Amino acid sequence: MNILNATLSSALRMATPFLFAGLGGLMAQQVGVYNFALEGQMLCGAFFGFLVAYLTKSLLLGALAAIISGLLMGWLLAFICIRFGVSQMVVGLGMNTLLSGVTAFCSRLVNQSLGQGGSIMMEKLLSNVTLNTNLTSIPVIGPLIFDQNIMTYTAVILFLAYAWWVKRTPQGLALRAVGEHPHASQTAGINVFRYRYLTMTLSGGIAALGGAFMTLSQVYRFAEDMTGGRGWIAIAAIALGRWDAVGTFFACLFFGLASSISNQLQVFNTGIPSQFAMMVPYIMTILTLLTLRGSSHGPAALAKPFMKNR
Amino acid sequence: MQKHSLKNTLRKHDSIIVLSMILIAVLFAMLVGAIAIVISGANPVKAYMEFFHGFIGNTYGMGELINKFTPLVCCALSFGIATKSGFMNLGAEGQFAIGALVSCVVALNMGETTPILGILIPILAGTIAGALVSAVAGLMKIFFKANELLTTLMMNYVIDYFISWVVAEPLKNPAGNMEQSAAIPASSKLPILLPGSRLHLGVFFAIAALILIWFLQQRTTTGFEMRLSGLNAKCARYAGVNQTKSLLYVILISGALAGLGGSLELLGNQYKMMSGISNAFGFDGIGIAVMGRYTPLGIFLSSLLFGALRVGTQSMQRGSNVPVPILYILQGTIIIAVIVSAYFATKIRESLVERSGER
Repeated sequence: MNILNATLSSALRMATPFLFAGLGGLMAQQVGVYNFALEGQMLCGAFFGFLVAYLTKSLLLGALAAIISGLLMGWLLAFICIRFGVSQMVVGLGMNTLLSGVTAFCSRLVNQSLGQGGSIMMEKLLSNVTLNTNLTSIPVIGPLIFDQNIMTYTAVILFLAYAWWVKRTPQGLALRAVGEHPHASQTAGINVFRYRYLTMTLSGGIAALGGAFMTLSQVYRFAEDMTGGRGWIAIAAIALGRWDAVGTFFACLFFGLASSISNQLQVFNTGIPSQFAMMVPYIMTILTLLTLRGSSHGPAALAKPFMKNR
Repeated sequence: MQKHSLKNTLRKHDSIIVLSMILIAVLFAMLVGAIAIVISGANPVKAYMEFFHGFIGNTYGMGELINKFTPLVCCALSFGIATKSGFMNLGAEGQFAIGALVSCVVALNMGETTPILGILIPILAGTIAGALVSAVAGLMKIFFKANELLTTLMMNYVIDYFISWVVAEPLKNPAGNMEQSAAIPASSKLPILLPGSRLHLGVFFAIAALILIWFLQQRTTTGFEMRLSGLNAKCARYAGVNQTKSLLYVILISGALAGLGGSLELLGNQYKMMSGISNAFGFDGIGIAVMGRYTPLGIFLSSLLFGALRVGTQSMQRGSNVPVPILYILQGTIIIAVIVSAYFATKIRESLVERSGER
C-alpha cells in the first residue's frame, strides 16, 4: 500500500515535465508545425530557470526566466521553419544540438566562477502545497491529488484549460483549422502566419517550464543534457494520445507512471540493476509505439511548409 | 536551344552557389562561436588561432582529425543512405556503441592471433551487430508501422544504459577500478599509420565504405530501387519494386555502417569498451549528411570539417580555457545555417532561371 501510494504520487510529479513538453509539442503540431526542439527548449528552461532562481533566490523569477528563454527559442524555431519552409526535423535536431551546447557551455562557465569548479546547487525553494491535511490522508488519491507542488498543479490546469480552449472556442477551432488546411483557413480570413508564430512561440515557453520543473523542484541543480530524452518521449505521447489534448494528457501521465516505476525499482531493493530500471520509460515508449500500428495520424498539414506566394 | 543553355548555366553555377552558401554558413557559425568565446572571457582571435593550430602543421593533431573523420564518415553514410530511402535512422548512436561492444567482446575472446584475423573478425562481428540493432527498429516499422524516428531514438537510451551495466558488471576489467573492459589484444589493434600520431588503419575502411555506398547507390539496380522508394514510394510500387525487401536492405546497411564506425573506433582508438564510447558521433552523422547534401563527396568534405571542429575545440579548451561544449554551439549553428542557406540557394537558382528567360 505504501509503495502504491509512493508510486502514484510520484507518478504525477514525474509526469510534470512530460505534461509541459507534451502540451508545447501538441500545440505546435495542432497548428501544423513539428516542434522537434522540445528537448533543447527544456534544457534552456532548466538551465536559465535554475541560474536565475539561484542568483535571486526567487522561484517566480526563475520560472519567468525559463519561460522567456523558451519563448525566444520557440520564436526562433518558428521563424526558421515558417519563413524558410525548410525541413522541420533537421532544424529541430540542429536546434537541440545548439541548445545542448549553449546550456552546457554556460553551465561550465557558471560553475567555474561560482562553484569553484564543482557544480552549484541551490536549496529547496519549492515545497509541496498541502491543500488540506485531511484530504491528504485519503488513501491513494489523497497524496496523489492533494500533495503536489505548484508547478505540477500549473501543468495540469494549463493542459486541461488548453484542451477545453482548443475544442470549444472559435480561436481553438481556427488553430486546428490552420493545422489541417492552411489554404482554406486563409481564405476564411484566418491569419495563418500569426497563428503559427504565436503558437510555436508559446510552445517553446511551455516546454521550457517542463525543463525548469526539473531543476527547480526535482534536483535543485543543473546537469548537462539532464532532460534525457523527455522531449522525445513527449512527442511519442502526442502520437499515443492521437493528437487529442485529453488523450495526450493521459499519455503523459502514463509516461510519468513509467518513470515513477523506474524510480521505485531503484529505491526499493529489488535486485534489478539500476541501469535496467532506468530503461523502463524508454522501453515503455517503444512498446506503446508498437501498439499504435500506424493507425493514428496527425493534422493533415503537419510538417508541410506554408508559403505566402504559393 | 534556349532550354539547353539554361541547363548549362545552372549546372555551371550550381556548385559555386552551393559552396559559397556553405562557406557563408560556416563563417556565420564561427561568428556565433566568437561571441561564445568572448563570453567565456577569452580572446577570439587567439582562440581561433589555437583552433587551427590544433590540426594544421601538427602531425599528432592531423592524425586525431582523421581518426575522428573515420567514425564520422560511417555515421554520416548510415544516416544518409537510410534517409535517401525514406527511413529516418536516428539510432546510429546506439548501433555504434553495440558495434564497438561486440567487436571488443570478440577481440577479447579471440586473444592473440594473426593480425589479419584479429582485425577482420571483430570488425565483421561489430558491423553485423550494428545491422541487427537497426533491424530491430526496422522490423518494428515493417510489422507494426512503429515510427522509426522515435523507436531508434529510444533504443539509443536503452543501449546506453545497457552498455553502462555491461562495463560495470560482466565485462569490467577485474584488474582496474574504472568501469571499463580490459584492453583488446595487440593483434586486434588497428596498426598506426603515421609515426608521431595515433592515425590508424581504420580510415581506409571508412573510405572503402564511402566508395562502396556510392557504387551501390549510383551503379546498381538495388541501389536505384532503394533511392526510388525514398523519392517516390508510389512510383516505386508501380515500377514493381519490392519495397519491403528494399527497405530491409537499407535498414541493414544503415545499421551495419554505424556498427562499422563503432568497431573502428574501438579497435583503432579506444582499445577498451567504456560508457559513452559513441561520444555523439552518431548524432554528428546527421549534421554531416545534411551538410554534405547526402552526396559521397559532400559527406567526405563535411566529415573533415566536423573532425576539425572536434580537434579544434579541444585545442581551444587547452589553450584558452574555452569550455569544450562550444563544439555543439558551432555544430548546431552550422546545421541550421546550412539548411537555411539551401533556401537561399534555391532563390538564387530561381532568379537565374528568370533572368535567362528574359533574355
